[in-house]
Formats: sequence, C-alpha cells, structure tokens
Amino acid sequence: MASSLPRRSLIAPEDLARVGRLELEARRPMAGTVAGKHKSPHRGTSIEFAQYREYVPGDDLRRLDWRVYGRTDRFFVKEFEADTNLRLCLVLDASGSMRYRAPSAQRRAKSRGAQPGAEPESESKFDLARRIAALLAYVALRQGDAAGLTLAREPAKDGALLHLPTQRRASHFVALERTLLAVEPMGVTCLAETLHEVAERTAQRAQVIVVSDFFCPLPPLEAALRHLAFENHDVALFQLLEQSELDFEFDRTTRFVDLEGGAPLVVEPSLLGARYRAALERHRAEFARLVDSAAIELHTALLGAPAAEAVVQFLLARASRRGRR
Amino acid sequence: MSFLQPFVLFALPALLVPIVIHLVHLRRQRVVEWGAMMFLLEGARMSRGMQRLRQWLLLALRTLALFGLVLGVARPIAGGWFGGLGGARADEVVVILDRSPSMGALVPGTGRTRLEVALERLTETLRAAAPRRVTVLDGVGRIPLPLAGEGGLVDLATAHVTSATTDVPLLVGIAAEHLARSASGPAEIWIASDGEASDWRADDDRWGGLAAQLARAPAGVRLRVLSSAEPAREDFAVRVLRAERRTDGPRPLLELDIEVRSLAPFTIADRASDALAARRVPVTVHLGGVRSQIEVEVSAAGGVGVAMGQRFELGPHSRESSTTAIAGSTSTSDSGTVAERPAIALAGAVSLAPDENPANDRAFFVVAGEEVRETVLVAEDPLTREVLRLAAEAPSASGRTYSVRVVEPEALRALGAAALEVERAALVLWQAPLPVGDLAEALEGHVRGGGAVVFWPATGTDGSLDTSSSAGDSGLPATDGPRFFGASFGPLVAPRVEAADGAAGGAAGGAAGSAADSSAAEGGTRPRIDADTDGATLTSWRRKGDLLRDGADGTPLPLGGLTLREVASIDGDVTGLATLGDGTRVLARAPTEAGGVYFVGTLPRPRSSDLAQQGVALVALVQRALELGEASVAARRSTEAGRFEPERHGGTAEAWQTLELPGLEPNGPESRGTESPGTERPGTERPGTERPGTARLGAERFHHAGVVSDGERHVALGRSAGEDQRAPLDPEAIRALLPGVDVHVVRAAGEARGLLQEVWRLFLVLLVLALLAEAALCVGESRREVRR
Repeated sequence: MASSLPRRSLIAPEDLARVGRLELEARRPMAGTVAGKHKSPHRGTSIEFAQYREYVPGDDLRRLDWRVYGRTDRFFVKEFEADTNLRLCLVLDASGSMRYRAPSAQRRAKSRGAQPGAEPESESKFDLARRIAALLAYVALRQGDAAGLTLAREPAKDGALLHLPTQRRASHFVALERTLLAVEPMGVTCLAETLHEVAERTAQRAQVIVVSDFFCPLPPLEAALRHLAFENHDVALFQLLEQSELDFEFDRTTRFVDLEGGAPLVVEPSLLGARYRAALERHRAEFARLVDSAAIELHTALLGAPAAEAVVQFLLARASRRGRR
Repeated sequence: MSFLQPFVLFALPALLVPIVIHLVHLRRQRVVEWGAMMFLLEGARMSRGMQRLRQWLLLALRTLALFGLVLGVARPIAGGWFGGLGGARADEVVVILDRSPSMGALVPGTGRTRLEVALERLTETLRAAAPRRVTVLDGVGRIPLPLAGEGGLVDLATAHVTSATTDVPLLVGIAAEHLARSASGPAEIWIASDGEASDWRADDDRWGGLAAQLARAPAGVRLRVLSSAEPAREDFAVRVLRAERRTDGPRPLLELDIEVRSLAPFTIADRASDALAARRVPVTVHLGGVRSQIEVEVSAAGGVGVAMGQRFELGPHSRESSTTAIAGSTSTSDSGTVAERPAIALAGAVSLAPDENPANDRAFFVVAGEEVRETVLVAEDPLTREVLRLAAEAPSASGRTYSVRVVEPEALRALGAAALEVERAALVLWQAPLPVGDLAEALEGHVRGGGAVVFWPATGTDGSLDTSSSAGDSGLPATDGPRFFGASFGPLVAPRVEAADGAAGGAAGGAAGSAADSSAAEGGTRPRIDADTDGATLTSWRRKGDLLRDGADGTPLPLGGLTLREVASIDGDVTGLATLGDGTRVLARAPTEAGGVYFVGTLPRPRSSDLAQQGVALVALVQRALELGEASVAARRSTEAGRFEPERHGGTAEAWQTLELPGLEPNGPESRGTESPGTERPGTERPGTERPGTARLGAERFHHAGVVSDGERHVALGRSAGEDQRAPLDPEAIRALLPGVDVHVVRAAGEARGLLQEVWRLFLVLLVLALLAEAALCVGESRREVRR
C-alpha cells in the first residue's frame, strides 16, 4: 500500500486530516488481477467464508462442512471470498453548469476581481468536485488501489484531457491532479453519454463515483446508471448543490445567464420562484427515486462545505457496511 | 375637454419618467450566472406570458397614475364629447342676473362688487363650458335676450346693480318657459345671486309650480346657483322714513325721520365693550344744492338707529314747480274763488360715507311744496255737500293745508273718471249712487293706493244722477245700483224704533253726561226713544280704533246723543263700526288690503241726522278718514324702485325722467354700481323696435334710486325695506325650493367654475385605481412568497 503520496493544492491539509486513515471500500466484489484488500467476485481460497453450496460430484471433499452434515444429514461445501484490488473510476461533470457559484460570490468576484475559487466561499461546484475527486483518488491510491478520471464535457478547442485510465502508481495522482486543475468546465451537460462510455470502456468491475449536480434530464441518466449497474460496477453519486439554487431567493428582476451557453432569461422572481422550486423538487424527488431503485448511493454536498465532509461521510458509510471502523 | 389650470399640462412629459425608469430598470437588472437553467426554463415556460403581461401592466398602470395625477391637478371640466361621463354639456344656458342692491356689496380683496365678480366668473365659465346658446335675463327687462359679442357678460348693458329687489321665482319661471319653447337639448339655468331672502322669496307659492315645470322638461334642466354672500365687515344702509314740510311760524321747514341700519354684524369687541355701545354714523342731507350733516346713533344691540324729526330750514333752496287747474274741478278758498293748485316737489337725498356696499348708502325723498290734504267731494245733496266740505276743510294740524275739490255730477257725466283726479286726493267723500265702470275703477285704484273713500247714501234720483240710461258713460246708476267692495246701501228710511222703558246702563259704546246719553237697554237691542228728536240713537260703536275711536285722552266721541232720523242699511260683507239698537249698521267698513272704504248709513243733513249740528263726531270721522288716506299721498311721493308704474301716477313712461338734484352727482362715488341708466353698451340683441334704446332705458330708469318727474309730479324711488335685511338662504334652503330638480349651489365667490361639471374626480379615481392595481400586482406575489 502506498504510504506517501505527493500532496498538491487540491487537497487541503484539514481535509486530509479528516479523512485520516479511512479506507475506500467497495460495496460489490471487485474483479481485479492483483491481490488486494477488496473482495473478488470469484470464489477462491481466501480465509473468508462466503456461503454454503450443496455438494455436487467433483467438489473438493476437503471443503465439505461436516458440522452441517451432522445437523442435516446433507452434504454442503463452503465457499470462500477471493480478495483483489479496487479500481476507482471518477467521473466528473465538467459541463458549464458546474461553474456555478453563489450569487454573493459572483458579486464579490465582480467587484474585487478575485480569482474564482481562491476563497472557499467563492468556489464553484467544479472546484468542490475537483477537491472531492482528488481526495477520493488520494485515498484509493494511498491504499494501493487504482484510480482513474473521466471528465464529462464536450470536447473543446482547449485540448484538455478528458480521460485518465486507472492506474495504481502513486505518481498517477500527480497526473490526476494536473488534469483536474487544467480542465475548465464548459458546454452543455453530457453526463449520460459519458457514463455510457465508462460502462462500455471499463472492462472489469470497478467503483464508479460520479460527481455532478445531476441537473440534466433524468431518463437518459437513469439509463446510463443502469448500464453501469448492469456491468456490475459499484456506483456512487456525489450531488453538488448550492443553497441559492435550492432557495431561489431573489427579490428583484434578475437576468439569469445560462452557464451552459443558453440564452439568458430575465425573470421576475416573485412570479417564477414558486414554479422553479416546484420543478426542482420534482427533479430531486425523481432523482432520489431513481437512485434508490437502482440501489445507488447518493451523497449530497453543499457548496461551501469542506470537501472532506462528503468524502468522510461516504467512506464511513462504506466502512460501516463492511463492519470495520 | 377644457382645463381650469391648463398650465399644469406642461407636466405631461413627466409621463416619460416611469417609462424611462422602466427601461433603465431593465438595463440595470441583477445578472446572475445560473446553472439550474432547466428548472428556470420549466417555470418560465409557464409564466413567460404572464410575466411579460405583468411588466407591461405595471408600466401602463404607473404611467396611467401619473397621467391621472397631472390631468386631475389641471382640473378638467366637462364639455363636448366628454359630456355624460363626468358631466354633460348644456345645449343652452340661461343666465339670470340678480341686480338687487345687495349685489352691489364689494367683495373683500377685489375692490369689485359681487355682481361684477360674478359676471367675470360666469364669463370665464361660459368660455370653458361653451354652450351652444347663452341667454341673459334680469329683473329689469324680464325678457330673455341672447348674449352676443365677445365681451361676454361683463359688457352687458345690464351688468350693473339696481336699487330694485329681484323677483327670482318670476325670473326662473320666465327662464323655464323660454327653455320649454326653445331648448332642444340639455339646458341649464345659472343664477348669479347672493341668495338674499328678499330676492328669493322662499315662501312664495310659485316655487312649487316651478319645480314641477322644470322637472317636466324632457331634455332636463339643471339649476346652477353662484351664490356669493360673504358678509361685509362694514355696511350701513340709510333710509328716509318720513319727509314732511312743516312751518314754524313764518319759516318753512323740512322735517325728516332718517333710519340708519347696520347690515354687518357688530364685532364681539363692540358688543363686549358695552351692551349699549353705539356707533355714530354721519349722514349727509342734500337739499337744494346745500349739504348738511347729522349723526345717527346706531346701537350695537339692534344695529338700527333712527334720527326722528330732523329739521332743516327751507328757504331759497326750496324747489317748487307750478301746476295747472284741471277743468271741472275746483279748489275753494275762503274767498270762494278758484285758486291755482299749490306748489309741490321738494326733492332731496340723504347719503352715507362710502362703505362696502355703495348701493344702499343713499336714499331720496320728495316732499310737497306745501302739505295739502286734498279731499274730493262728490255730493248730490247740496246740504250734505256743504257740511262735508266744511268738515273736510277743518284744519286739525298746524302746518298743513286742507283743500276740498268738489266735483259736480255734471262733470262726472261729461268726463267720467278723469274728472275725479283722485291721484292727488287723500280722501273721497261720495254721496251719490255707488260708482260703476271707470269711476269704480278709479276709486278702487285710489283705495289700492292707500286712499280712503267714505260713502253716504244717495238721496234719490234727481234726474241728473239717475243715469240708468247712460250708465255706460258716467257710471252713475240708479239707487239700487251695484255694490262697491261688496257692500251697498239700502233705501234711506226712518229707523224702526220702539218704546223704551227708560232702561239705563252703559251702552256697549255709550257714555253718560249729556241729556241725550247713549244707553242701551240691558239685552242691548232696544233703542231709546227721545221724544224731542223722534229718531233713533246709536247704541254701540267701536271706541278702540278706526274712525270713531276715543280721543287721545280717552274721551269718547259724543255719539250717544246723535239722533238718526233717516237710516240706510248697509248690506254686504262689512264690519260694523256703529249700530242702532236693532242691529242696523250705521257705520261700516269694507274689507280692503289698503286704504279704507267706509259706508255711513245716514246723511249729515238735518232731516236725516244731527251730525251737522253736533259737528264733533262728523269732523272727527272725516278728519280721521283723511289721515288714513294720507298714506296714499305719501306713497305716491315715493315708491320702490322697480315698482314704479308711470300710468298709475299719470302719464307715459317717456314723460317721467330722472331728476338731477343740484350738488348730488347721479353717479357719484356713493353710487358705484348704480350707473346712469342712459348709457348704451353692446352685448345684447334687442327685439326689433323703432327706438331700440328708449324702452330699455325707461325700464332701467325706474329701477334705480333717484327722483323721477314728469314736470309736475315727483316721485322718489328707493330700495325696498327687505333689501336692508341680511338673510341669505343657505344652499340647502335653495335646493329645497325646487325638489326634484338638479340644483347645484356654489357658495364661495371664488369657485364660479364649480358651475361646470368638473371631472377631476374621475381622474382622481383613475389615479387611485391605477395605484391600487399596481400595488396589488407588486404586493400580491410578495405575500404569496412570504406565505410559502
């Protein structure tokens, strides 16, 4: 297991401190060729008992469980888990909407000319997504797992790298970080298409963590998520939200500029607020139903909160499921 | 639409302000980069139309509110196409001018009279209202005349105050009839008046009919009253109560009773200082070019002061004129020769210092050159004629001359009423068949004028008086002729008498103390027979008041000893003043509204009665009748302006001209507002006439205070007593006069434009509604947000 990884600007020391020695656990057995700490879907000679199976001629008689025979007069063999390594595929929504920051931060940035993300209270969703992704990748690489990155964005002329395959080397973190820092979110959302690609591209079972606001049509997204689940990937979602998006507390006529390049919209908040909130609530409810029906974990992170908070919550949830704290 | 303050419309470009603000607001919207556009679009998809509509609505409401504010402040008035919404434009307007003296009061702060101010305001209002036709009506001409010319009401010949009281119900009736004939659309009657009770005559029965008449107008008639009645701070009115020539030995004197009345309320300070506080008001007496001044004390309590018996010497400045004798009439003197008619016509005036109402600061008077109490005597019985003449000539007061003009029956037959000439008489003694025809009319006119007539029974037909065949000419019928004032005589017969039992006792009107005491048997109807006289005696007579009243010291007339040998019953609706024992009326009075009409049921000749022998009662009766008739004489020397009827005084209107008094300017500073009635001004169209100015000038002349004369007679014209009372009707009282009629009273003088239908309220309502709607649009959504 890697004991030290180069730490860059995306990971704050306090975040790292909070994560501590938590480990990234897979919810489903991983399919890897390297012996690792994660369970393999294949049955092997591991010391960890998996399940009983009725004896069929040809099974190894050493695996017969005589105690069960003594109780039931029937022959059952034990099967054991096979441990392997985890492959973490991080998928970040890099569409234009991920550039969203709180309106107050937008005003401060305009008035002071401050660099976006320079202050925590002025970071965008993508800034938070970067931090979460970097933290998760760090944890995975630290514990000897592989980590990769896919950015869901329209190809742009800036030539930004949108995909880094999973690797176990510790130095891979640098590349990950460099990629995260270099890319600028832009364009329309293409998350569903990207997830389909990931599902197709990732040959072996992997842990796919998607970081996005998921403000996109749900049917294609549902199809993509189900594709991933069909491929037996362990999917977890991090939904990034900003409080102003939830409250929509604007008190005067406002021109809303679409971060994904659409036409601006002048809105009388007093007329539109209720409908907006209703539409948002409907979307969130439907999304929650969607992930629940697909048995996908969903974690919500609010802009302005430390990146480690969501990551720690995720890691703890996974660890508790495994019974290890 | 017209505006009363059109300069405010220059603020209309301010309507651009909300539009500019709206546009600037659009430009200066908050800009937010937004990621959750899909939800915004979903919500906007449903409300985009409403949002745009709301924005435009808000802009429109704010602009409308400002528009309503500007127009409302500009005070638009209804007219033209706008009629019916905020007020209908009148098709025709009849303007009634109240030209009574009270309208001559100055409006504080303007230096102009109420009438002048009212005319100016009305002119402006007419320009703004722009009715199709404007007609002017006033109390002098009483003929609705179209208003022509650009000058408007202020240039009218009638735009001046007169001294005559305005008969407002009469003028409203004339206006209503005019509109009924001419108006085809909505019409209005505008009345410029100060609402004084003397002009409006609230108790007049005509108002009831007027209300019904106006309410029946098919197109509708509205009444607008411009009532300007700000109380004056100082307003004194002067009046001459009595003007009489007297003599003090050889010196002729003029004696005046002068009243000064304060029409402005005394201030509280005046009253509080002393309950008996008074103001001494200087009064100038103008007489023959000479001015004298006296002071009249006006008490604070009653506001009236009277200077009684003010005497002024008459000498070189007395003014006299001559008269000519009229054929058929005689005026006897001690020598029996015919004398010329005595000189008459001393005219003068009293005036006050100018105050807030010059129209009541002057009064005129006329006195006869010599106070003559004239009696006209018609008697067919020579003895009666002589006795009555003596009785009428007996002087009862110093400084007065009593003359009797005997009119022969032949003169009556020849000249009819012209022979009577009762215009100058105070008393007519008529011993002849009761008059009919023009004679009756002349006597009735005499009575209406305040004169007195005493009838005596005719002595029967003597040929000359029995004119049953010529009744149409001389009007002297047979003895059983018609009635006069509802009464007539029965035949002259001996009274019915009965033996008396010598009953004594006080008669209802008798007095003891003579051999022929009057007495009445108990029971009251049994006459006493006097063996010496062999006639009836009076058993009762009226002692308190009228012709047979007791003397000033309470001594009754010696009527108890009067013997009546011939009595003619007095039939008809009369009041008995003296009766016989059997109830036969010997003296009776017919009911009259003015003057006096008496019937004496006996004659002063020896065979009929001993009135002549006794003398006292007869002289008292005749002299008292003469005094009663003096009121008509005095009335003929003065009358109310506007009520002077030249025909009643003799002559045509053209013959009567205004007399210029030396030393008194006809249009002096005291008489502002009462200009000379001879000035022609443009502005009114006159009916076709050969002499377009004469009739109107004549009518004007008789409506102004002054002295008019036909060369022989002089009459002082003045204000009515009601004009010296301040009792303006309040708007409610005015409206109550015409129930069912749309009456709008504008009380303040400065708000004549209120006569028009101002529609600024509509714009105020528009403003309020616009602001309320704008608030609802803005606040409603906010409340829903808060509730959420």
